Amino acid sequence: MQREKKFGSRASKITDEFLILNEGAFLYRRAPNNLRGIILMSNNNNNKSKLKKLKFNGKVRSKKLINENIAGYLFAAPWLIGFTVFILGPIIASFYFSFTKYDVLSSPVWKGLENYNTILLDELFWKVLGNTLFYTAFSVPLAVFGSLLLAVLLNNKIKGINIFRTIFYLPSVTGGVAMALLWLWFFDPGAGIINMGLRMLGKQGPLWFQSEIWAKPTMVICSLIAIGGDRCLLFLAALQGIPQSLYEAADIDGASWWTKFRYITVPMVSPIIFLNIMISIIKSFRVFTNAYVITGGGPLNGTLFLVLYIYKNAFTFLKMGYASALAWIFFIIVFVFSLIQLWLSKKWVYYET
Amino acid sequence: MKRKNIITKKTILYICLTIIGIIFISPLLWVVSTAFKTVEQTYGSEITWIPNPITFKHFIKLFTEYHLSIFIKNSIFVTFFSVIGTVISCSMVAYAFARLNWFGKNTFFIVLLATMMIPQQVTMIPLFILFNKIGWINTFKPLIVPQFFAGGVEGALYIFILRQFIRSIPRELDEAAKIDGCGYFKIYTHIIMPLLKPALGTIAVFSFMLHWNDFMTPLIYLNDESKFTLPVGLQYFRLQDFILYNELMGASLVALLPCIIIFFMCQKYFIRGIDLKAGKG
Amino acid sequence: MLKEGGIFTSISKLYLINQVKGEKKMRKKNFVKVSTIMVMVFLSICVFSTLVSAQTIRIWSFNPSAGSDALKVIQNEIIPEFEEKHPGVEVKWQGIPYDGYREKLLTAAAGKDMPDIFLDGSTMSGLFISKGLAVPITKYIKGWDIWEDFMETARDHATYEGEIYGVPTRMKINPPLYNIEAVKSAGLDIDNLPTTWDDLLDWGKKLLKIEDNRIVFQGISSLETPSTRVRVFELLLQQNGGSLLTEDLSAPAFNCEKGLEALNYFIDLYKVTNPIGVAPLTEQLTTNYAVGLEGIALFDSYNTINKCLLTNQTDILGKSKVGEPLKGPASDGKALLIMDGDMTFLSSSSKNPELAIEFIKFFCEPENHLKYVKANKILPLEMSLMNSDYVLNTPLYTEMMEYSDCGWDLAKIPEYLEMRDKLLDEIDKAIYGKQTPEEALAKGEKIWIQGIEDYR
Repeated sequence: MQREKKFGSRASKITDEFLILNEGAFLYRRAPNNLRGIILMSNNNNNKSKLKKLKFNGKVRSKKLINENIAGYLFAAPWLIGFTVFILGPIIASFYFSFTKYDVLSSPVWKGLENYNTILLDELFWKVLGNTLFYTAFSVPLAVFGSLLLAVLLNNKIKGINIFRTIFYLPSVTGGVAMALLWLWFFDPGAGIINMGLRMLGKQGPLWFQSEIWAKPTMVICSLIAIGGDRCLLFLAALQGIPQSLYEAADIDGASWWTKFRYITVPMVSPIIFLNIMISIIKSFRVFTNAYVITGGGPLNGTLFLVLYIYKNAFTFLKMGYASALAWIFFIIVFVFSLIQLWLSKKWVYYET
Repeated sequence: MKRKNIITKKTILYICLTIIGIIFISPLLWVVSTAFKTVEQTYGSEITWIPNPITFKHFIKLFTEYHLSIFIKNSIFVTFFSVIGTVISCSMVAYAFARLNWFGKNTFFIVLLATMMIPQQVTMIPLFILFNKIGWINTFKPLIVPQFFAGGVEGALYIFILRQFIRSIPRELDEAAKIDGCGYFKIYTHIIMPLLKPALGTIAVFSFMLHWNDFMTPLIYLNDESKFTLPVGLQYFRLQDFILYNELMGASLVALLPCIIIFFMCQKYFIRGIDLKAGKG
Repeated sequence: MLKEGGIFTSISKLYLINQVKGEKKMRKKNFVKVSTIMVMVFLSICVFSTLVSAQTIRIWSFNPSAGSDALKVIQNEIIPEFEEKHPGVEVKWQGIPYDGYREKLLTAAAGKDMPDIFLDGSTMSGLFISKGLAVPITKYIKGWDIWEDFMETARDHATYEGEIYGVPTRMKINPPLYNIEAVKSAGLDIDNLPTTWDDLLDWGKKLLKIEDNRIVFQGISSLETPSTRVRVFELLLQQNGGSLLTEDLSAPAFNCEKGLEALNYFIDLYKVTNPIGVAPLTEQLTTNYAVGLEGIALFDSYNTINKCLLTNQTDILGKSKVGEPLKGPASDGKALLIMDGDMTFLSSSSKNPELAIEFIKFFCEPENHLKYVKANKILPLEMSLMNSDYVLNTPLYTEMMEYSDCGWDLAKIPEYLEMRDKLLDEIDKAIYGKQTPEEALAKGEKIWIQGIEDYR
């Protein structure tokens, strides 16, 4: 108590904690003149008496705070600059452009709400939105529950389980154009391996990416190859955190595998399920590379997803204003989805208190 | 009885895992297989998994005539500097948020979290116009410079992760060093950075994957074939008149290899990355 | 999951002990690290920064395409010679795939990064001129003696509203090309080639072979690519006596009876070339025609021949027969063969227009022109070369050139990529049966009226 009054609470805290740690030897040189005090720590309790107390005078503290402020801004400067120039500025500019007609070759022409009007009345936009929602609606549940099931399978301590874990993680590391080209070849209706295999079995395969009906489901299938990756590992970690005692208690009560899964596993990992759903939804809205490389919009615009549509309008037709409006609508949709998810999560996510 | 039960359970598990594993790994195996096939075998009417004979001819063609080597060089250049930029700037900013007290820190932190939700497309168009006006189109600058300013959505995520990590480093080290006479910069370089190495490793690995496979940004900004990175170059191949699937798969294999190699070398960073992300969730 | 405190504290303690001991070492190490990185950065910037000399000329083309013989000849023979004569000047000619070529040009235009010269079809003149991306070169051409030597039709193509906009580089005529062997084995008469649309459809059906729900022999060349589909509809429309736009280019003119006939025929044709639900022929080797998997090369026979010749399948000339251009039902009996050509465009953002035009003039000198056309397997455009050995030895080309007068060249329609795209969407819907052809044309008309209005 006395220490606190004399030297300020901060000083005493430090010395107390140094006392507690006491695990190694620290040697410090004499401090500069404006900090009157030395701290000397020693290995064993016998030398506690050698401890001297810190002394601060008021001036030093306030100088330190100002320095800290400046230092804070200096260190955060990259992000502050980056945020203003690369995020805040563009958002405001994008908002402005969405009300204009702007092909970069001439200056923007103010058009008011016309862009938004056209978008909402455009048949193609609703088709694009439908495509994107279809993709999200199918790929997210399949991915999340697929990876949960995989995690359950991988959660067993049998010999060689690590090899399996690696094999399942590996495809999620790949991505981008190389994988898109692979899918193009894999699902080629004439000479691709899937159809050839089906032919050998006597069945006729669909036209996959070239069929109007199958193009979107094939896209969903392609996205599923990565389910053994990050998400699965998250589930794995969460599963390993479930106390075995719960399962044992259930076994005593004679519960079946399914009951155990549904009433123990799922609730216990529900925060991670929620996290995965959030991440998956946001990722699924951003599908671009596969659609651009494989189908370019797909048969009858069936695989024209929102991001691809924005790209087409902005860089193929040079309608920057229209594309900006589309981007803002996209933003609002993502935002609304996230809010809905957050609100729904309160109902079904079980947090261990 | 119980022992038999366990053995059957184990066998079923092994069988399940093997079958599913084969399904998952088969596309990649197919890439490798096609990459070394001759044209006849690629388009032939029989499915052959092991090419016979194994041909390398088209790889030579890919590297010389189709300029695959230029694409690789460009990709390495862009990815290398992007990763360095990300690591340096994100750790600096994370240090500011975790350790220093400055005016408005908490508000800015909330803003940082909010930026994670913004889709890239909203900023993409004005950024293009901005870079256009500066004259950075058709150079590597729009791909690399934003990374030095913790740019993009991933920047915010990495800052968040690093901040959590830094918070777990005890403050006493800082205080001790301060008394020692270290300025904030020295604390950053001598204490925080070395301890941050595991997390930085993870950030670097994830950032590498992101930039190696990044397709849209180079597509928008690069016009000359001599500047294309691998993803754009691969798409370019595909549109050529005479490209055949075995050549295309060969090029894809070259593009996939670095990611796979890094995965095998740095597995622990991937796993740690999940730890960090889950810690946040 | 992370054990906060324990592990890290002990690690850090150990570290700090070592640090105190080896503090100087660390400093040195750090300095070395930082300086190496900075040196590397500096070097890379030096090495990788584009050292654009003040006198660089960039040229883009989709034909000659990347990797083609013609491009090699240009890069290895013609350009070095020019660079020798003009020291300090660098010419870069880049071949770009056709798919997305215009999009690339427009994106480059948006980035103020257009090449000095770009080659494109004369039908695209309207697009570039209306957007101000191509500038007239009349003043440079005046007094150039070689200009008069160019084929008249070629010169006409390069002139728009009295101003010359480019130098012709290629003329394309696309009469149908018949695979003699395939025709004979399908039981058809090679000496009695189709002259009307219905005849062609009949032949197409007889030549198509499907096995196991996939095409094993393509009757008429495929209409898979969207850009081909638009082009073909346009050609059919013109063969039927109609056109996409009215004479004064102010309104769409395809929503009429001739247009409906053309669209109906187009849908029937599509069902013969790409039957819905049947796996198409995977692109093998160069072109399906070349490997003997196509009966009739209808839409781009000129390019088909080129591709074959480029891959040393010279026997293609002996295995094929050139057919007459086709007549639509409403074509007044006159067979129309559409012809267009490629030409150079000088972009408005070029920094060295005179130098660029000088290169083009050098490129068109008879010696160089002959080298180029030989490598590109096309006919020369300069009349003075018509008696060379090269021309006399490619009979198929001369046969095709005979038709060059009976067609009418495409008007310089300002082609809006987006409007064509949207029209194609409507046509596609009609093909798949989602709407009737009449609806498709009506909708297309509405979109085009809107588009033209927006544009004005």
